[in-house]
Amino acid sequence: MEKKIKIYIQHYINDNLKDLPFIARFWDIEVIPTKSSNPINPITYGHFKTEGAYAIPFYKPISKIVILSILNEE
Amino acid sequence: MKNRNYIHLFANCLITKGISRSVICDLQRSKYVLIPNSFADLFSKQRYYNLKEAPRIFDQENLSIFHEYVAVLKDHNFIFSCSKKELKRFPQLQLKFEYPAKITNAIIDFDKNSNTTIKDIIQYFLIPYNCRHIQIRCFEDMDSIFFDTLITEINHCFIKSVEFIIKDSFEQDYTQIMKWVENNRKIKSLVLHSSQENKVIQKENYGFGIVVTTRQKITSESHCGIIHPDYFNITIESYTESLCYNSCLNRKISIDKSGNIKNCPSMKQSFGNIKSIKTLDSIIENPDFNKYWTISKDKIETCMYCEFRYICIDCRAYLETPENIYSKPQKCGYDPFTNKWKWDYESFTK
Repeated sequence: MEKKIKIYIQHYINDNLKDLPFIARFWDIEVIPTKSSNPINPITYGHFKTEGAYAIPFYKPISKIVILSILNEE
Repeated sequence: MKNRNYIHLFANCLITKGISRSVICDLQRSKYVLIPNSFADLFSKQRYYNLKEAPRIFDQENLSIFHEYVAVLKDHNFIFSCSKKELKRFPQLQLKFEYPAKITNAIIDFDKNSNTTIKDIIQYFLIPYNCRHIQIRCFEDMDSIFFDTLITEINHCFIKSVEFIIKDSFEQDYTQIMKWVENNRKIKSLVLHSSQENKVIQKENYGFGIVVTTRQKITSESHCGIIHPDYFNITIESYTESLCYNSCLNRKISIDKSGNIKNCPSMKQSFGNIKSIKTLDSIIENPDFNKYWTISKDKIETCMYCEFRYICIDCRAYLETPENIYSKPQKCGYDPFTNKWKWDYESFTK
């Protein structure tokens, strides 16, 4: 099923290149299975109406206020 | 069959030499392994070693130890075998730190008296500097409506991730809070402090949606600055940043509960209040503000000898010698000369 979806999207991109950003043919397509049949709400970023399936976390701890070792003990 | 008698470090595996031992950090798999300095020295001039040289250098006992370490590095996928001809095919990793933001992260503290709105903070202090990762901290009970307002604004703006550290007032009924986190997918983590138990309520999903409770009573920003292996961060961004910049304060802004703009809420010096300032431009350019940004671990007393210096997140707010900005973090109990943790943060607080 995932393969079929990927192929469908790939065909869609190829057929609509003019309507999509120039980089569209290089897009990496990832099919994300969900627990329920309801679609997941996309994450919005405000700029240029951009949306994403998943956000990207920051690369390091922002503060060091929580004693994490307590949590590891549990 | 080529004669593959060389061992070569993978490009993402970098050695940091300390005064009495070294670490190899794998920046892709986020792990490290401790090695003796004598072993690290074999890779000091280049990132490979000719195994044929080992029997000439080591006696029988040391040779077997050498082979044990080679086996450990192979097990961890830190090294691979190659021939002399193949050596030049493996260029080194580019270690220059680059990040597409003038400010990369922000700490925003709130309390009941905070007279600031997240909308203004985002508009004036985050968007112009492309700051897309924030942490919101509250040390006292706050109304749930307050958090709903915050997250509504965050959901509709360019922020990528938000971490919450807030006081637990849910009396162990976490169903609603779990649903709240699930529905607001920019929430990376929610830590409920001053709780009745230490518990992971919800595990991460693609690095987001973590909910934990902790008995730790966090009553103010003074609890921050913990230096502990749990906070070691082994990523290419963090490692390369640490080489030239301060691993905590570089490109960070903080807004304390009174709206004061600082490097860190735990620091005394304020560079203005968000009620009267609508831009960070002059603050970022202020040498008093950005002087901390370039204090790399190589410039900090004691840390400069530590093997963990490029994976440890520094603290400039609490120092062993407060009047010396190059002093070792006060809340670090590690001694790089003996390789022992003299104390950890828990015992320090007791």
